[in-house]
Amino acid sequence: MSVALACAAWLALGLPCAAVFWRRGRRELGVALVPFAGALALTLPLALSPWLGGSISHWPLRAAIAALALAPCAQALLRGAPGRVETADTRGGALAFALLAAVSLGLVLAGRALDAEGWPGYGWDGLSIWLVRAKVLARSAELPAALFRERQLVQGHWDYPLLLPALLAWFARVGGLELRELALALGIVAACFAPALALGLRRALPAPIAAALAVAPFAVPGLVVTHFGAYADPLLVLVALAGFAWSAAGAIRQDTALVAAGALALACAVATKNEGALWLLAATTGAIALARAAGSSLASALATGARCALPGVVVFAAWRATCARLGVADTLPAELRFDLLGARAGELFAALRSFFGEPQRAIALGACAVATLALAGGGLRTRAARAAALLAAPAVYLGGLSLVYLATPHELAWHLVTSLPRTLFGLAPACLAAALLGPTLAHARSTEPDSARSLP
Amino acid sequence: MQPLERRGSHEIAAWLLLAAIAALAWRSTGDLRALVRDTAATRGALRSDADFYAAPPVLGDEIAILRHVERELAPGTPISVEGRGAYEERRQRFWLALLPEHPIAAGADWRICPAPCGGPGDTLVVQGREFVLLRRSTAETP
Repeated sequence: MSVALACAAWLALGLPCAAVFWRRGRRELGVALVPFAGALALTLPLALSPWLGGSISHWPLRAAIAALALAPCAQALLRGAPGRVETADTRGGALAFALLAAVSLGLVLAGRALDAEGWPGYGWDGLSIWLVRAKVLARSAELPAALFRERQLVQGHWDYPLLLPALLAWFARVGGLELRELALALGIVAACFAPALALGLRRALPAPIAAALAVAPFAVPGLVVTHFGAYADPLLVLVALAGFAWSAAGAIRQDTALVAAGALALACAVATKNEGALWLLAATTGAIALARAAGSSLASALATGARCALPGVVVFAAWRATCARLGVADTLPAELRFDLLGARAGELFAALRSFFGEPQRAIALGACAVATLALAGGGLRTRAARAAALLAAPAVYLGGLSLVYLATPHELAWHLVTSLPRTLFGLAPACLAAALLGPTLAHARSTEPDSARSLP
Repeated sequence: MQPLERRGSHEIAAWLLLAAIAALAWRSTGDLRALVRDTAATRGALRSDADFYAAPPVLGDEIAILRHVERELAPGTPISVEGRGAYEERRQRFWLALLPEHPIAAGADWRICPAPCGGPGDTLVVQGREFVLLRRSTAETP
């Protein structure tokens, strides 16, 4: 019962933000944003607590204040030209969302089966990084600044953001779950974010396509078990994929509300893991490229990109400022070894070739690339340009990640073995999203007036 | 008539895609279903976080150290958790979770470290499997 209360309270925190979208007539986006806004409302007071008197002991009150503050932020994001909105195609929607409900139920039941009464199978990193934070946050009266400065823990990645531990600590404190029982919370978290992704796309894509995109992360081998191992990478995939797909679809359809929703999801990605900042950069680049490919002027495309990036940049800056105030050792980018780029290129290339050479990955990514080209429509050059715009975000993410790997302060081989598959979990779903948005982009061009199409 | 037919074929393609991805997801989550099956046998074995810490994949034989700290050291007593670089530090962070009442601090009188460790005059208090709990000698105390 207390777990249900914790879940309901988390989702209730998203309601003020959802109400803003609801009032603009975007009910599907309002509902879809509930878990995202609720998670941000829980995370921001923790991240900013050193600036707010230090206490984190009054979570519900502080989170409620943050939730109310998110509503005007969403309102500000929605300012500007009204979005181009079409009526949702509801045919088949009930069946597609019934499938998603079954997936969500399966995730909750799996979490329930793995929790208290059995061995949860938490991964060592998941246990020692994310669950440690969850436990510290659940028990502490204030953010433990001493831990951030403790020289025995300089490599403890205390600069990692707090969205996942904040959610788990919420379930521990309000829901009464102990450390070993948090698999149930992990199941509930995934069960809320996955259908939200599809719901947000209901006006942009047919229901089965939106549902396919929401299910796609779970088709990535190892992702679900890694999620239940209490790693943050799978959750990052869910929120970053929502951010990319929503902002990309919004940029193509010149739908301000969808871009704003994508921006809030990307802020969640930034608050989940350092790689979230890379997804923010990638999705913003993709949104600008897609807005241009859909016929927007350069100024309009840049404005779309700015709207897409703004909440994530604010979250990133706020957390970095907090880390600086607490004196946390900054593992990135202060310790990056750019002098080793050339020497390590061969090693990274071999690792990537081995990773992408596995038949299942090669087939999936190849199929997505071919589908993107096939579905983008138009002549050869137009088709290539559209495919490039659609695939810009995954390409920027892969490029940025490769650069970080090349400059890692750790031994590269160890870093690749321990993290490469996890950090690339989101690549195939993002490429699938690019392919599935191809017809939307092709349609956007074909509906432009002739005068607009003839512009250089 | 033609647009309707095209729309129908698009709809069929969308459902086929969803079915294919759902089937792939079912296949890819076989490891989770296996994990749920494998843990079914131990269901009921872990009734508290204390049982959880004592389980072999977590602390195993190191649990003696945890028990001693919880029983014998007053809350607030600083403990130093030492290791040999990044790999050991993961364990240090885990001890941090286990000992929320005891601040982790370098140079503390009490230290948990991987055996063999410690200096002359340090007292061995508890022996775990890989780690030991030592009391630092007064001469060595910084």
